[in-house]
Amino acid sequence: MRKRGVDHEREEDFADFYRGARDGCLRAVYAACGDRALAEDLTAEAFARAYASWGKVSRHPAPRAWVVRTALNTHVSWWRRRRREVAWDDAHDEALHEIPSGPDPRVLAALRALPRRQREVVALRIFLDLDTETTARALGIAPGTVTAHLARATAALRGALAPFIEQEKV
Amino acid sequence: MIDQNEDEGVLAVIGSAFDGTHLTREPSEVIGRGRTLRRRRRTMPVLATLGIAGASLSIAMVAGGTTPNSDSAAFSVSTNPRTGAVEVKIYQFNDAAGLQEALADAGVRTVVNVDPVPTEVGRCRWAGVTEKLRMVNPMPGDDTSELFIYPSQDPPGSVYGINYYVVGDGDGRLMHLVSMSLLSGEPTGCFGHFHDPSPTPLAHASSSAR
Repeated sequence: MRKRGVDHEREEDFADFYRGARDGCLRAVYAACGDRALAEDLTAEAFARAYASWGKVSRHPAPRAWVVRTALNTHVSWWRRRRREVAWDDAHDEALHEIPSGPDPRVLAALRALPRRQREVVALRIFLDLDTETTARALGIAPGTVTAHLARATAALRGALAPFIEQEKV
Repeated sequence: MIDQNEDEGVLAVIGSAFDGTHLTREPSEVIGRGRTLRRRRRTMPVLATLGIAGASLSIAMVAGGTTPNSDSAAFSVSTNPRTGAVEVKIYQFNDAAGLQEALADAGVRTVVNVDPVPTEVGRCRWAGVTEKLRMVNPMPGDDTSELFIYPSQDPPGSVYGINYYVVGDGDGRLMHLVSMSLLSGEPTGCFGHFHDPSPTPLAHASSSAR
C-alpha cells in the first residue's frame, strides 16, 4: 500500500541509483579515507544527502562523483573542526596487518602513504572510472593537476606494490 | 619511459583488492535519513525568517514547546510534549553517565560503549541484536550532530546504542566520533574489531527508561 504524501517515483529512481552506485562509491571513499567503518558511515550519509537533494543531484553530470565528493568533504570538514593533531603511532601500522579479511593490507598501506589529494584522484579513477575532466570538476581542481596527481600516485603505487605484483605473476 | 600498461596494471590490482567491499545498507535506511535531512532543510529558512535561528534550545522551544531535560556543554536532551520527539545533541563525549540519565528521563533506553583506543577499523558492531545506524556525529557543530527520537514509534524492546570511538586517517590525525544506533534489544557486547568474532564486554552499563 502506498503512503500519501510520499513521492514513490522519486524514491524508486533514487533507490535504483543507490543500488547501482553504492559499492563503487563505498570503495572510493574507503580507498580515500582508509577506514572501512567510517567509509560506510560517510558514504551512507552522503547518499542520504543525495536523496535530500535528489532533484539537483539526479541532474548532476556525475552523481556518483557528487556522492563521493560529499562523503570526502564531510570527512575533511570533520577534521577541520576537530583540529586535534597527534603523532601517528607505529601501533596503527601493526594493527593493519592484523585485519583478517578485506583489501590486502599492503594495498591499503600503499594507498595510505599517498597524500590525500592523490588518494582521492586514484579512488575516483579506479572505482568510478571518471575521466580527467570529470575528476577535475568533482574535486574542484584543474585537469592538469589531476593528470599530475594521477601520474605521481601511480608511480608511487607501482613502487610500493611492485614486489606484490611480481609475486602475483609467478 | 612510463609503461602505460604497467600503470593500468597497478590500478587494476588496487581495484580488485576492493572487490569484496560492499555497502549492504538498504535503500530504505538511506532514504529515511535523507527525508530527515530534507525536512530539516525546509524548516530552517522559516525559523531564520522569524529571527530565531540561533541557539538550538531556542529553536526547539519555539518550534514546538520543547522542554529541555538536560542542557550542558557536553550534550542537550529535550522533549517535545506535543509530538513526543526527543531531540538529542552531542557536542563532547565526556559525560556518558549524564547522557544516559537524561535519555532515561526522556523515556529512551540506552547502552553505551566507550572505546577511547584509536583503531583502524572504526566503531564496534553491537552483538546479539540487529542494528540500524541512526547517526554518526563528529562533535561538535556538524549538522548531523542532532537526532530526533520518537520512543513511542520505536519497536517494543528497542534500545539505543551509543558508541564513542577514535579513528585515525593515516595522516597522523585522530578523529573522535559518536554513533547512535537503534538496536532490536539489549546487546550482549560490542565487536571490538570489524571482523572479530568475539564481542567485548561493554565499558558502561545499560540504562532503563524511567
